[in-house]
Amino acid sequence: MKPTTNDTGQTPAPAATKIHDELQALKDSILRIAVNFRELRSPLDQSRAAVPQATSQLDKVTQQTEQAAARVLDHAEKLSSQLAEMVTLLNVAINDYADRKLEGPGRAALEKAEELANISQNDAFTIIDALQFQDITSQQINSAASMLEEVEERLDVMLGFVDRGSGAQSAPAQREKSARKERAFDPHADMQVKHTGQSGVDDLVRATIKKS
Amino acid sequence: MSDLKILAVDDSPTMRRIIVNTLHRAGYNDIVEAENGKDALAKLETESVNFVITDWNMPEMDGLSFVTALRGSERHKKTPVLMVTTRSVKEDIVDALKVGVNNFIVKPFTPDTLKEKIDQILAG
Repeated sequence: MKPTTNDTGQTPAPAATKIHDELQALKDSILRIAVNFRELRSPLDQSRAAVPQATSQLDKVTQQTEQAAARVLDHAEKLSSQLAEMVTLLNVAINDYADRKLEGPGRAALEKAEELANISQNDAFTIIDALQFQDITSQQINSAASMLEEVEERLDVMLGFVDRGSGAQSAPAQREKSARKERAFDPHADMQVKHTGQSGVDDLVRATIKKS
Repeated sequence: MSDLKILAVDDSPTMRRIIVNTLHRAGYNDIVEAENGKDALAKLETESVNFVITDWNMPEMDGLSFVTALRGSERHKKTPVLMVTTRSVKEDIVDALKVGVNNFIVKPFTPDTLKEKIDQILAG
């Protein structure tokens, strides 16, 4: 409201009016900024709330691939054990043929069966070895989840600014760090890409042993 | 077949099973498992382990801290240690060798590589 007269009943000088107008404009600006801050809060809060949901989904992926890998391992180990037994039995039969100096399609079939059993056993081992992917992908997932948790922390900081800017009295509720899963991972874990391949590692080891 | 008692340390149950399976195929049947460095140190108190295979990135106590603690103990300062990890940055490999890791395998590994590195360490 513009002052019309001062205490002595006189109209204020133009400079004072101007200062008053500018202060009023500044006050209006500050109020608008406070409103903007309050409007920012909701989307920031929603983004922050989405992070634990996202990390929980990622953790579920790791958990479920781990369970699936365990089931595959169960069967692959059983298979390789059964194939090993088959190879043993086939060897008994083949040796029996040999001892009795028997030839013919029967012996050839047994020898072929033994060969196939050995190949299948190696295939079972290959399946087992290939399941290493589950450890490596779970590290990649943990790396992604950790990045999301860093975003969550930054959003907490921004929410703090927003709350101060909007004049809120209480600090934003933050997810306790202790409530978060402890994550241990190599951020560079990869099935194919290596900074140093095994032969490079071997060179380093040899060089180190030589020095000592 | 072998009188080696091996401690396999990895936080991934899948990877522990694969390592154990690979060791069985290589003829090593006396194997103890641990899920991180802290668990490994506890197992070492009660098991007569004479060879360690360890991962690096593990919660509670990582592989580097575990090997450092191992080398600080009178009983295990010379126990052979093979590190099996995804880490392949040169500086990491050097750090591992500095704390006393005897040899280093980058995941994913082949069974032949695991056997070869164990043999190399045992041959001194």
